[in-house]
Amino acid sequence: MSGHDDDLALFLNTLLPGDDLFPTATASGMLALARARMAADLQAPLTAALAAHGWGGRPAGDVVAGVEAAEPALFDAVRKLAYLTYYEQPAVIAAIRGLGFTYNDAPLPDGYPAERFNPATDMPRHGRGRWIAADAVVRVDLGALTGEQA
Amino acid sequence: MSAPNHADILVIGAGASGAIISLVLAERGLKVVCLDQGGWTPPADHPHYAPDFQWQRQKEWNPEPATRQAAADYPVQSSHSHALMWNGIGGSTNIFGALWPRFRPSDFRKGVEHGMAPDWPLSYAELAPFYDASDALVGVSGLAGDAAMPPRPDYPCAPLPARNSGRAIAAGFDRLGWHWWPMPSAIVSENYQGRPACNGCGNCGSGCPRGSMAKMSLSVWPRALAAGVDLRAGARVEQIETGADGRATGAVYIDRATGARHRQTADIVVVAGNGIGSPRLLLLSESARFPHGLANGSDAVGRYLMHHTLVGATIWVEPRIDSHIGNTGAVISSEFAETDTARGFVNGFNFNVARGGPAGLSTVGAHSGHAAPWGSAHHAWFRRHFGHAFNAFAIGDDIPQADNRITLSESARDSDGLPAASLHYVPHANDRKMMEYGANRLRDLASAVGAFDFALNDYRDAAGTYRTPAWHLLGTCRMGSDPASSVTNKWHQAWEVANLFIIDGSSFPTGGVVNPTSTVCALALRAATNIADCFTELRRAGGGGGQAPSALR
Repeated sequence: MSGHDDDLALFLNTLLPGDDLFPTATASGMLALARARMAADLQAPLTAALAAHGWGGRPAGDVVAGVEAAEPALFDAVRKLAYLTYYEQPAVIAAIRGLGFTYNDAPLPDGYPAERFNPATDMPRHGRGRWIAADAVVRVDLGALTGEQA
Repeated sequence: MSAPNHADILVIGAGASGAIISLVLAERGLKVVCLDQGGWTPPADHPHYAPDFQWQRQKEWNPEPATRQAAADYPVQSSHSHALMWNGIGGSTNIFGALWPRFRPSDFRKGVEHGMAPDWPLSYAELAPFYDASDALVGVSGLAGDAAMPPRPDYPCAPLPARNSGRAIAAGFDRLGWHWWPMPSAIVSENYQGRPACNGCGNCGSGCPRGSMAKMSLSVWPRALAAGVDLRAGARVEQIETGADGRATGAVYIDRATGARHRQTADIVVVAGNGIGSPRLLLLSESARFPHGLANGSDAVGRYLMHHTLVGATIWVEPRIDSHIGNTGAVISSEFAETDTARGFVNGFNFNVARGGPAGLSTVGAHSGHAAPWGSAHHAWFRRHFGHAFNAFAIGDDIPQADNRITLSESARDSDGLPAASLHYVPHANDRKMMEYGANRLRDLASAVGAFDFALNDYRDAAGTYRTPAWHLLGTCRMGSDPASSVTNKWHQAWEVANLFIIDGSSFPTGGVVNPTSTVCALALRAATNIADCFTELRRAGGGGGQAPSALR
């Protein structure tokens, strides 16, 4: 990967290819933000890792899989960046809503529709639970323990 | 170096404990100065109002100082744990989940129960009135009548809504015949003392800028400031000073804005810097009279660090439960809270069951540690999994071990040149057995709810090293009945320095099976009330000598 937008776009679209509802990574509008977030400390090692696995000469998915296997910490950081950046895009949030969810752009100020605790449906009725009073605490049988913890 | 006006009380640390101590003592008419190395976190600075809130959680709102690297933080070098905290007014209540369960009576009696940990020098019964008062002070929602706990008064606020997620979780426990109860939370379910009811925004993990959660800068601190507390932000204490008689005389602190050093004197010094910050400061305060650190004649300062045992799982259920909505804590289960040696270990654990979280954090496996697949499978995974998840955590009482400890780093320093903290923590064999058992019970829970997917997180890295997310920083200045093995007496008064008090999670002799902040607050309320009651005697009390003034009850 040369570090140009075309390469980053292909990489991100390999991670997040989209479907009939969800946009591809680049169609979501995340590219510039992903590049900015990656620039600080991930761009150079990712570029090197992809190059080492044949980026540009092999199918992108094969290269990405190779990086995932060989450099899990780097891949985890890049994937986290990609996923979090993707899921804050308005087009992706619209897709989530398209699944029927009430889902806000940001948690506040709106929050979500108020509910109340409903004793009729939500009250525990099992009667289970026990506690030991302080003066009822006695030495347990440590003979039941084995090995180094005994 | 300037020397501002002498105070009755100097409190070091403006977190949950420092806020309550300052409030109580100021409302009793004492002149209180409180210093904190961090600043205010204004509501508008929280990430909740921006679409990138999940990204901010990884960066400037990351709970781990080592990642966040904010100016107010000090480095914590750790070979194992991820030490989590927030340095600033309100401390870690700026980012905590506000789960508010209490210790149980047997938690105070582990010395009697098995002897692998000490008894507390006080009982549940002694602390219970302060739990009640603390609940009223900070605003707690919950449901009284839990048969797994001693009787208690009604909570100040009604339980938070169960929602579909809570009902699905409860049904699983019912199928197993296991105890469950609505999670007590320091989040107000109704408007309370000027704070608005929770609106279920689902982002508890980055605190609450509305004040619905008990973020101390929006709950307790306004009242403390109104009572006259002189709260100084950006004031990093480098040393507690002592006089020729061995009494604490005050502290020297660095104004982080100017770099200037100031001396603040006081009749009584209270340290409330959390389980890392408090021992660090005592170790930094060594002197000819206290060559191993202040109040450290027992060599217990920094030792017996506890985090709780932790194993978690994300569990995906068939019904859509919209688990991105609502406060974090849904259900607590105390089914395994008491010791049963037939399980192969002493102590017990609770289940904390939390909701699922927003889309991005769900796909990166924020709790499960297992990210969603990439490529063509990603979107199908999302359609199947999002809105169907909850997170269950088995949180247990770890054995306090002397070698698990905070020391001063020999290499790293904070931005003011003070030695950083160094943390060492390895779970005891008993803890590992408990975590294995808890993991299997999580599998049982997944089966009971008919989970279609399950991801266990045992917090071990690729090399098998346990790297717990350590929110709970406990035990490092523990209270006790014996000056040879503890740092303070039952009133948090240092055995060796009669006018020095250490009041925070570091005071815990054992960790219990619950999130600790409710107990930290109850202890702070109790200790501060006692200091106020005994202030006249305490300001006259001799320096060292190991015995509490007779006025301390």
